[in-house]
Amino acid sequence: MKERLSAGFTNTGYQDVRFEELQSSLIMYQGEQLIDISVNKKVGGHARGFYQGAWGHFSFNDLNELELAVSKAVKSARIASQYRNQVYELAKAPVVEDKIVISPKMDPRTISLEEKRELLNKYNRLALSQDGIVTTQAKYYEVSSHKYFANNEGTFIDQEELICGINLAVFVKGEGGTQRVSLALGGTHGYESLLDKEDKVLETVEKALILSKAEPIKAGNYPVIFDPGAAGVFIHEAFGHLSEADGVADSPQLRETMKLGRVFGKPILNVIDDGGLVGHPGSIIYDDEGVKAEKTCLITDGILTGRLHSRETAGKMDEELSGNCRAKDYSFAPVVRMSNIYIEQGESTFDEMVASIKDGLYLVGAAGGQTSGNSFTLAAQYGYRIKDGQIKEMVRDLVINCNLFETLANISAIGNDLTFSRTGGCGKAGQILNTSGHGAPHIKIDNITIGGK
Amino acid sequence: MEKLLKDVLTQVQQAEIYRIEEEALPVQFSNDQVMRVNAKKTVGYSLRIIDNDGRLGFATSTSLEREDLIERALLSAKYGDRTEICFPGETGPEVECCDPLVVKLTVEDIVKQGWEMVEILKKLDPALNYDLNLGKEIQRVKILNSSGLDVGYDRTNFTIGITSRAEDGFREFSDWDTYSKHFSFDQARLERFVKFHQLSQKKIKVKTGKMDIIFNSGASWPLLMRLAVGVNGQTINRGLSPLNDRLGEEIFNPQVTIVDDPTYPWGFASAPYDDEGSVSRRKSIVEKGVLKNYLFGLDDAIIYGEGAVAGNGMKKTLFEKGIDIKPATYVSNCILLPGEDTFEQMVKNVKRGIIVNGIMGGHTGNTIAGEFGLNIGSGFLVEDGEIKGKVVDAMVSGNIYDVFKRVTMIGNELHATQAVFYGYGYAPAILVPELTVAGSQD
Repeated sequence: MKERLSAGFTNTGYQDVRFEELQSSLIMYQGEQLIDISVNKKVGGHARGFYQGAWGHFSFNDLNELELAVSKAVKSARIASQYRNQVYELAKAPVVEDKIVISPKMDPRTISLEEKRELLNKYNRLALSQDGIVTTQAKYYEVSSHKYFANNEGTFIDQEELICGINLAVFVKGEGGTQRVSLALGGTHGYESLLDKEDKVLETVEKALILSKAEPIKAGNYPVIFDPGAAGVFIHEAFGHLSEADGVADSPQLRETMKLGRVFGKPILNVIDDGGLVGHPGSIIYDDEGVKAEKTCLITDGILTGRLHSRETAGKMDEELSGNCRAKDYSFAPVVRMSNIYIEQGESTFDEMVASIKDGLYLVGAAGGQTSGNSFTLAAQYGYRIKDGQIKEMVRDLVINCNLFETLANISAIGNDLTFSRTGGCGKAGQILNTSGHGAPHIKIDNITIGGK
Repeated sequence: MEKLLKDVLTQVQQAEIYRIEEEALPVQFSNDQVMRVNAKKTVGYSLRIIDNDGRLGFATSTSLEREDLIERALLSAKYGDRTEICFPGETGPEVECCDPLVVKLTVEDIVKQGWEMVEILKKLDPALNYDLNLGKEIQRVKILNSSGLDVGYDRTNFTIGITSRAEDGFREFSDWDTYSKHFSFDQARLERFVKFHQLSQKKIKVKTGKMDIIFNSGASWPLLMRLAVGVNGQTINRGLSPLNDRLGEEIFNPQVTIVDDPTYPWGFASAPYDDEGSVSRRKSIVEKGVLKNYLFGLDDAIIYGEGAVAGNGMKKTLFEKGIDIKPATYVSNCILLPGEDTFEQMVKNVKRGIIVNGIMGGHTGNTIAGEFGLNIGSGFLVEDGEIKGKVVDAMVSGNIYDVFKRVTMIGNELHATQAVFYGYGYAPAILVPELTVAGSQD
């Protein structure tokens, strides 16, 4: 395969090719109705050419078109290079030859579609059979890929990647209309992590039933505690995207704003991205440029100490490679992305945090978030009012909106209970990546704007 | 493909083969440099079958390896649910959706068009920092099924997007449009872009309270999307929609007409057929305030029963599109029909309010219930009809079932509105008084 992939390379600038065989299994129920059960296959490649600071890309399906794809990518790069005044080098990456084989304890690739459907439907039926549940949405997903990567520097990597998981959402109706609470299982290569989770399903149902009776809150500013699910999405949206160097490298102003050494939070705040952690949604060995995934300390003791790079951005900014350049599949160009981003464990207990709040909110679980540079938004699945140091009734329709610098600086306590998410999902550059993980302990933020009535 | 259909029909009752060949050629500029040219040419096949037990099976591939594809479709059907659907055989009229000019555009042509914009922007504001994207797409679709349908069409898309950067490097102001024919941003449109960028230099925090809101085209998709979720046959069939059993009721202000129109000339989602071969038809969702139609793909239409017309079976969601997405009910071009007010008249009518040009978090929160809490990514404070500067750190919240009742003015100019990644529809600016704004000024 190395010879085959390298066949189209010339010495004009930098060139690489990624070729993938992908197989995805999807099973989906909506209520009792099975709306999808299928195994899909895709095969294709992506060629890149880099010439005097400009990139050309070409995605294709048939390996026989490889030479053509490489030459088209290089030609595009040469045309683009005529419209540039700034030339830079890619960061040097070690030339490697490696083969990665995944061998989970229970390999989902060896388990029948029927068995997977049975497991999913067991949880789905359990949720549906509870009083007050209007409907459900249950999904089993599994994506396995065999990826080959080669570049004209001599690197060749043959690697398997695998992820499977279950997402279950339960729906209830109340005065505020339909409400949903969701549960994620798996998010790793081992099928065993999906088994025996009936208690989690019942817990999700119970929360949803309480939520159906919850009231909305009044818009305004509150001190809040985020649970690990909400805090993980918070750090992904509020800070993680800005640590992706492709958003920073081409802007002198943003380079200044994001200068290493800038104080981002109190000394209790530590944020890390680590693709090398085992068994999380964003765990990888090599990225889609053939660079090994590293642990990157993004914020250390409140100070900005690192960022996430591709070879392009590390070259432009003269910083260390981190192995964070990834694509959803062969039909996309790889871009800088988080792997598993998390807030490092702190020392506060959850009870201490609650006790310190006179009038505030406890936000649980994320129902989506988005960022636009220096501000971000995040919806919680549900929350609780905190009054005089005690957790009170559940509240609904919680959407927060913050300036990231103010909010990070306002993190005033970090819990001792770091928990990683079982599901990922991140959209950037037209690509939704399931293989993106996040984690956090409970955190307390002093002043956050929350929309409401 | 004909051979595949013949082969598979020896084993099952019904079958459908969908093939799509896609070419894309987006070019990225940053300031006055070309960053990358990101081309593709890929193909995908999807096979749907209804086996002899009446069960639906689905499989996709990127090559015509017939046996493997049939085997996977049969496996899918074996475990699948029973269905009553019948693949459509009716053919429909042509729709204007393929521009030969877009087909012919080369890398050099697109770079040249972008460069002309760069030259104009340089003259208008030499200090302006921005990202500019221009791109074309071509889709060549063929659909064959056991009801005798054998149709194909080509569709093109052309898109221009531009975003300026603020002094601190963050995104400041954006303009975006997409059609299936070629177009350009003329001098006037770029002048307007630079004007709003310059107006953004003054940052203003607002207090929490009620304010008048103008939703500009770019910020209207979260409103349209919540309605589309409410009329989606799937939401209706599951009994989750606030619009269940309300056809014929006046749900909005009589000024409001919203259609789903896959035949809209040169719309980005225009095509003669949906992604399961149903003929494209324009449907009123809300006509002069009255709820007229729900939207259905084949599957949801069968479950709903009498009165349901298919035509919205799409291989597309808010977040993904592609060969391996199973067709399900989704909008084509979701269009809020224009009114008579100019943008300037609307602004003049605002005593104290915000022009919301771009939002974040449009997909978050309780969309089924119509609730929204939108981060105002790009918004401008208006006082006594004058634009004062850019609103920062604020959000607007409400419910679309209230918003479209209370809308007082509807603009006369349609532009595309982009949801998450893709075009969602076309909308004019609208003015809604007294919405809740959560601000960050103490």
